[in-house]
Amino acid sequence: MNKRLTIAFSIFIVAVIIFPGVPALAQPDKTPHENPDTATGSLDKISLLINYDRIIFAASNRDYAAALEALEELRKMDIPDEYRNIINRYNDLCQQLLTTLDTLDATLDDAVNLIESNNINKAKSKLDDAEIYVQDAIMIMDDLSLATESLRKRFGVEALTAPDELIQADKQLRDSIEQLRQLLNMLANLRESLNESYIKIKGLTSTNITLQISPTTAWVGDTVNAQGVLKSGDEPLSGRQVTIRLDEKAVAIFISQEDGSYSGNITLPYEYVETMKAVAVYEPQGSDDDTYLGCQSTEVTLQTRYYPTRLQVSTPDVIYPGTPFIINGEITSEGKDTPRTIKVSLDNRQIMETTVSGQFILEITPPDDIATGQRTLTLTVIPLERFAGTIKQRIITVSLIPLEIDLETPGLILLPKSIQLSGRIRSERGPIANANVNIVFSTISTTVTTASDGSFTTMLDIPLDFSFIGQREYSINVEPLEPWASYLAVKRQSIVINPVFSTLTFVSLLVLVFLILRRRRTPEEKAIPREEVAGSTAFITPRAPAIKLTGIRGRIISAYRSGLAMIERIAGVHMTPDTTLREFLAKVAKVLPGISRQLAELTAMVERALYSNQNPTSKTAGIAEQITDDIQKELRRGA
Amino acid sequence: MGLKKFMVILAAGIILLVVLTAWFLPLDDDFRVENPSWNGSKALIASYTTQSLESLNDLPSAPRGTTLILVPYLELTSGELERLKDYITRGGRLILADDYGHGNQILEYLGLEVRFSGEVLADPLINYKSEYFPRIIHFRSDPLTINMESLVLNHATCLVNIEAENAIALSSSFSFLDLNENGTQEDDEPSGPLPVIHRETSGEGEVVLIADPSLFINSMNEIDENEGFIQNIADTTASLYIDQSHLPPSDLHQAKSLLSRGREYLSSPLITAGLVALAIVFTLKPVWHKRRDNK
Repeated sequence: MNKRLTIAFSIFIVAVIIFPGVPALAQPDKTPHENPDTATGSLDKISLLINYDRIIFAASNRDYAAALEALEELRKMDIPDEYRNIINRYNDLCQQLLTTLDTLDATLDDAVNLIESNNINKAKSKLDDAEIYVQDAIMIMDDLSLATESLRKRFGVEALTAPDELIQADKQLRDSIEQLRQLLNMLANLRESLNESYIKIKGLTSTNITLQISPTTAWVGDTVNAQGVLKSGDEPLSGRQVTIRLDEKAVAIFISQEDGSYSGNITLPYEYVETMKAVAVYEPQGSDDDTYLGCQSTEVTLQTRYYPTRLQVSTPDVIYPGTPFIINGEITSEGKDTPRTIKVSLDNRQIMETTVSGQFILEITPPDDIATGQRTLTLTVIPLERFAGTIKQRIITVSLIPLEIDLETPGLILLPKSIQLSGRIRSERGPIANANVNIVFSTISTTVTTASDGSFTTMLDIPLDFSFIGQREYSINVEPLEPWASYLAVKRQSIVINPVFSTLTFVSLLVLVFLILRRRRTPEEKAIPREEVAGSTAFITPRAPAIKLTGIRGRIISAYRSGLAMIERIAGVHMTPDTTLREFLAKVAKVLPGISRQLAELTAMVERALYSNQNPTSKTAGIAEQITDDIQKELRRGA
Repeated sequence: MGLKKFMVILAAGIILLVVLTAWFLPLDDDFRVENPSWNGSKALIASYTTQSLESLNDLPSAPRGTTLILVPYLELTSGELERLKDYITRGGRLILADDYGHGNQILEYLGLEVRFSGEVLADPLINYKSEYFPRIIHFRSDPLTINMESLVLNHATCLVNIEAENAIALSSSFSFLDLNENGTQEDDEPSGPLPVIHRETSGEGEVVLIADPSLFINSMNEIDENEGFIQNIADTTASLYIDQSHLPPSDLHQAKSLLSRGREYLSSPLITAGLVALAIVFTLKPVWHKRRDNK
């Protein structure tokens, strides 16, 4: 039996050791997260150098926008204090250099175009600007080279212990800086080359062009007449292409006549601005390229006219999903009252497009699924020919209407019990029908739908459990169907009494208390005070249990007992609880050999009385009593 | 005392100790709403009106306007997938937050092209403390990203099969997918900006994909504007649910569940009455024995 238990226990211990590892098999194979409070990290110098290299490499390929964007991102990096100054300085230098190179590149592009169109005066101005940018870029490039050296030292690139990846990243960065320097040199050379072209074309024949526009005040969409003369000195230039530009946009092309004059109508675009700047431009083409310089007329200012549109609206401050709301408004503009198209959108989501005129009232229903919070309501009046468009924006709050619940719950519940819960769901708009009401009480839950008056009634069967008396909570969750109504979650409490369990436990406790008290009153069970034990040097014989000895067996045992006290006292041998009858006999026989025979006989009789299946006779009991008398007499004599 | 008696007492003592420990020891499982320590999600329940779901059967019957946050670290059954699809189709919003779990199973079932990469997103420069806490700094205008300037993720992944410009949030251009998990970008490792949050409509509802469920653990709450992001989720929904039935159960959680079920079972009227009767029999046993002895 013991062996089997040991095996079973061993299996249990092994299982306890092995099975905790089993759920680990369900875990993801990668670390899902680590504690951010205890996480540590340091500046990734290799990655920083690699990314500086990428930025500078992008710039050296003239992708300045991408390089500047990456540099801007880099400014959001958390930099350790020890490196903050040098990295910020490095970022600043990179940004200055990239911006300067970008500007230089764009300026040189402009200069190329101007020189190609023989627009010599403007080209000269661009080339002068480019010269300044080149000088600036050279200075910043030198600073960046010095800053790179400082950065290398701070990052320990030249240290003997520097990792290969760091050395490699540093080498790539320096290579990219070198490439950038080559780009700068190339741009400087381009600027020189353009300057030489400028000097060359400076010897070309100059041209001039005039422009008159009539009338100089016109409605948008109307046509005006443009005319002028293209000449080279006093010589008219005929058959040349003249471009009319309005606010930098080409709107018409005319061909000059024999006398160098050109004329034609241009239509004013529907741009609702107060003025437009018009110029006539001549750009030499074909064989003119090697003969004439380009030219541009002086600007002519056109006063444009249109009907400004004013929009006045009043909107509610708060709206609710799925609930129509009213926008009152008025569109006014000079001229006749024209029907206008108006678009309404919430944030960027269009929710209405209609045509209105003058004063208007719009009933708009926001989508059911619109997110709550502050939203931008935009009303856009679309431009219509001479009538300009306009936009009005209002910040409005999308909200949900809170629900209220009147709930009737019992104040006191005696378990087990079926309780009836009833209530009514309402809002400021009235009763809420068809809402799902979920009620959870301990482990029981039920869901009920509200009636048309918002009322609901349901039963909860609460079973017996281990509870005694106490407060318990109901959780009531209301999910309305109306998109404008908010979700409601409330809690209520009732006092719950479990009479069966409480009474049974109380009775059990009473019985326990009764038993304990009775046990304490029994004199035989009183413990010997600790002080008595400590103060006495004599051995204290344990008291015999208070057993009533009845019958013949009882007589024999009583006879043994009655002699026992005297034997113990005289022999100084005590019948302790762990001493058998025979052990006691053996000890006494050594001290009092005179009674050993009688005591042996009496001991045998007691053993038979205690353990034998055969019932002793009264004669045997008489013999036992006689032997006890004999022993006592012998002991008295001896004493 | 015999060996048998010793073992019985020892076994009873161990079982009692294990039961008491399991009952009272705080749960430390990832994403559990009962867990108040760094990796739990108790703050979510404490700060917002959120209901935890132990089963997808408990999804609201009227899903419109509601939001379910799901961290699928366990595979979903076909029944659960169908319930989830029904929830979304009828207007619910699913926030599927996954990194290395079973999110792609759900996306496949819903018929969406987008997928979770399942590889580790690292950002050696734009980060919080280390490359595995990438700081997200690129946001598209969206109700979920109102007033957001930066989010910090924790051992995240990224989304694939979508155009970067369609994503709500993107990692920095210095980030990369650390395929071999050595913390350094290799030539064949895709580099940022990588999409980490995306929204797609499905039926009448929508699915918001977040490439890191750790946004919802207690310790990430107060870093940068993570709390603001969760606030935006809460602000754009009528009621918020968080699924707990697809998280790997730990020994402790299983033990607690077992004990809870046992307690529920014992709370049934019949068992309660039986136990009470048994308790009374044991209590009164000495009285009956005494009476028999006296006879």
